[in-house]
Amino acid sequence: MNFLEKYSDCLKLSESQDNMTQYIIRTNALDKKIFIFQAAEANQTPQKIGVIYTDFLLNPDIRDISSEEIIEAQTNKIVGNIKLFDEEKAIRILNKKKKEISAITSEGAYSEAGKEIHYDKLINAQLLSRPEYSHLEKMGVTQAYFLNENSVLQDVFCFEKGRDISGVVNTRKENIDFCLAGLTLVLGERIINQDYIFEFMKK
Amino acid sequence: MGIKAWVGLKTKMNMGGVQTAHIMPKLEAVVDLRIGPGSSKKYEIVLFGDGSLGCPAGPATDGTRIFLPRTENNFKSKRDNEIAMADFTAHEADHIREGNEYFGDEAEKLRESGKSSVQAFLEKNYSELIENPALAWEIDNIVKDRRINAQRREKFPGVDRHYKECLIPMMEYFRPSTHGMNDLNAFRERYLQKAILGKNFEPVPENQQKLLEEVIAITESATSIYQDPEKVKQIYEIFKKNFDITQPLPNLPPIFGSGDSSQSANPPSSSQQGYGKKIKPRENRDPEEEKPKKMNPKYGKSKGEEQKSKEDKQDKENRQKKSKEEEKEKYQPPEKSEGEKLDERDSNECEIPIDHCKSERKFPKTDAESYFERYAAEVSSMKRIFRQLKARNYGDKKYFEGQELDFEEHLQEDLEAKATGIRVSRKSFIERAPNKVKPVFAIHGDVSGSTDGEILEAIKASFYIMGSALSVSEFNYSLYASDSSLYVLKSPTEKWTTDVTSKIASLDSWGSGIYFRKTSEVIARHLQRTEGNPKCMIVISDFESCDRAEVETGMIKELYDQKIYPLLIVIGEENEENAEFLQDIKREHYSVIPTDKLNELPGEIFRLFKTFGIAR
Repeated sequence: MNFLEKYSDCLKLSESQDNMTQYIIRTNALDKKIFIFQAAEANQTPQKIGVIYTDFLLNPDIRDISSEEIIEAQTNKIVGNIKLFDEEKAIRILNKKKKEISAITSEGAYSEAGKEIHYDKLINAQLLSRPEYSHLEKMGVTQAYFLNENSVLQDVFCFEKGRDISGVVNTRKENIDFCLAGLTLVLGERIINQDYIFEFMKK
Repeated sequence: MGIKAWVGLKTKMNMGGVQTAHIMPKLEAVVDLRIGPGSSKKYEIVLFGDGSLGCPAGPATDGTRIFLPRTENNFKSKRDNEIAMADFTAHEADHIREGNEYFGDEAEKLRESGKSSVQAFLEKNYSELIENPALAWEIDNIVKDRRINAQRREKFPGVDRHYKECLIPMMEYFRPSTHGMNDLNAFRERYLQKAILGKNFEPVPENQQKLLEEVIAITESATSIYQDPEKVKQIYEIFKKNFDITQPLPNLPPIFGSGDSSQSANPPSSSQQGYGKKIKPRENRDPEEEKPKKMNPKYGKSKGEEQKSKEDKQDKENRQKKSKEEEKEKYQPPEKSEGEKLDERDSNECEIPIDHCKSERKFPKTDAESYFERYAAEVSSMKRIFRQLKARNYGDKKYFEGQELDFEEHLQEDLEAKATGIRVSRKSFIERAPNKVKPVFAIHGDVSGSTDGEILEAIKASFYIMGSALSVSEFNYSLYASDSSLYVLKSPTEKWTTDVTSKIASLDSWGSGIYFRKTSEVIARHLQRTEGNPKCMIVISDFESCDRAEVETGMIKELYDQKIYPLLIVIGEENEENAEFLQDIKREHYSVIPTDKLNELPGEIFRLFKTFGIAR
C-alpha cells in the first residue's frame, strides 16, 4: 500500500509546523492487527514502529480483550499497554513504566497523564463543509480532533474503510509516547461503540 | 409489555431511562456482532413508541428490520437499561441470523423484495395447522426464543448475569397472573415462563405439571431452526389433545427482549390483539353487554327499558335486604361502642367519637378472608402494579447527588434566559437519588344509613382491594369508615393484617352521615402526623350535609391550606351537587360513580391514587 499516496493530502495539512511529527495508525482486518507508522520525508515509505496483535473488533470466538500490549516493531519489546474499560475509563494507554499516557471515558472526556484535555471534535459532515478539508472525503474521513496547547497532540484525523480504521496523528514533538496518546483517539469510537459487547463478554 | 405501557414510559421517563437513539452506534455494533460485520447497514434498526397504531408490543423483527422501543426505563439503573436494550437487539439479531441460515440464498431475495422471512418461515412450515395457526406461531416463537437466549447466555457471561440478576427478577412482577385465566391461557403463560425464564412464578396445578414437563422437554430438544417445525408440531398436538384450541387466543404480553419475532406474521384481520380486546368482563357484568358509550344511564334508554330497570333494581334491593336480614340473624351485630380512643384530643375537639373497631366483630378473621375471596383477581392485578412500581427501583444505584445536570437542558435554559432576560435561579446540579416521593393516603368511606345495600358492599370491596394491594407497596395509608362515629379500620402506619380484613367485613350501615367537617379534621390531623408527601384524602359518600351547611362548607379549602388534597367520590349522580356545594370545587377534585356502576369504585380509587399520588 502506498501510504504517501493515501495520506498525502492529509499529511500536507500540517506541513508548515516545524517540530511536528506525524504518525499513522491503522488496523488490518485480514491480519487482525494494528500497525503504527512514523511518516517519513517526501517520497519515502513510512517506517513501521509498532504493532498491536488485535484490531479490537470483538466477535463471539475472541477471548475477552481487557489488556493488550503494544510491541515495538524493530526490537519486539513492549513499549506500552492498552487497558480497556478499566478504572471507569474506556481506554487507558500506559507506557512501559505502567504510567498512564492518555485515557478517554465512554462519555468522550480525554486526558493526558491524568489531566483533562479539551478538544474540538469535528465529524465527517462538519469537516467536509470546510473547503480546506473537503478533499479528505475520498479518504473516508470520519472525524477529526483538534487539541489545545496543553496536549502533546496537535490534531488527529480518523478514517474508515470497510472494517478497517486508521488515523493520522500529528504530535507536537517526536516521541513514541506522544504517538501512543493519539492511539486513544484513533481507537476511541471503535472501543466505545463496543461497550455493550465488552459487558456481554465480561465474566 | 403493551403499547400503551410503552407510551406511558415515554412520557414518564425516569432518571435511569435510556433513549435508544442516543446509543444507536453501540446497538449497531451488537447487530454486527450477532449477524456479521456490516449487517447493521443491511438490517435497519427502527424505533417505535410514538403511540401510532401497528406498533409492535415489544422489541421485534420481521427478518429485515429490527424494531426497538424509543426508550427503555424499566430499571432504575441506566446501565441495566442499556444492557437490556443491547440484549433485545442481540436477541432480534439472532432471529435474523437464524432465518438467514435457514433460507440461505433465498434470505437475500426475501430481504430485497421486502418480504418478511419470519412470515415466510411460518407459512412454509405451519400451513397445515389450521385449527389455530396463531397458537402454532406462538409455540414456534417460544421454541426459537428459548434456544437463542440459551445460546447467547452460554456464550456471553454478561448476558447470563443480566438475565439472572435483572431480567428474571423483574419478570416476576411483570408477567400476568394465571389466576382467572382459562385453562388454555393459563397453560400458555406457564409454558412461556418455564421455557424462556426457566421457572414459573406461580405454582403449577398438579394436573398440568406432567404436561408442562413434557412440552418443555420437547422445546429444549429443538437445538436448531431445522428441528423447529417438527418440535412445534409435536407441542401443538399436545395442546390440541388437552385443550380446546379453537377458541380465540389473547396475545400474551411479550417477555422483554424476547419480543414477538413474528410481529408482522399475525393476519391483519386477526381479532387476537391482546388481552385488552378480549378481556373477560368483570364478575357482575354481562359478557354480551357492550360497554355503554356514556356513563350516564339516562342516555339511550327507552321508557320501557327504564321501567324494566327500575323493576329490576327494586327486585335486587328486595333480595339484598332479605339476604342482609338473614345475615344479621346469623351474626350478632357489633356493638357500636366508642371503643378505644385514637387520640383523646381529636375526639374532644371534633366532638365525634373515634372507634378503633376493637370491639367484637361479626366476622371472624377466617370468614372475612373467604368473604373477600371473590376479589382475588382484582387484588392480584393491583398488587402487580404496585410491585412494578417497586421493581422500577431495582438495580444498582449508579447515580449520586451532585450529578451534573443534563447538558441539553442546561443549554436550553441558557438560551431561554438570553431571549427572555429572565434567569431562573436553578441549580446546575441535580440530585440523582431514588425517587423520594412517597404519597400518604387516607380512604374514608361513608357507611351511614344512606349507603345501605350495594353501596356498602362496594365500599367494603374497595377498602379490601385497595388495602390489600397497597400492602405490597411501601406507602403509608389509612382506612376509615364513619356513620355517626369515625371508625379507624387501619391507622396510617399499621400493617395490613387479617384483623383489618375482619374489621372491613364487619362494617354495617347505620347512623346519620359522615359529618364531613368533623371527620375530615381528625383524618387531616392523622395525615399531618404521618410521614409522606403528597397527602391525599379520598372520601366516598353521598355528601349529604349532616351538620349545619355553613359548617360543612369551606372544609375543602381548609384542607388545601393544610396541603392535603381532598378527592371526593360521589355515589349517585343525583348527589353531584352536594360535592359542588362543599366548596365550589373543580370537577377534577371529585368524580361521580352512578349507583349502577358501583363495581367501578375500586378502579376509580386506584385512578385517583395514580393521578394524584404517584404522578404528582
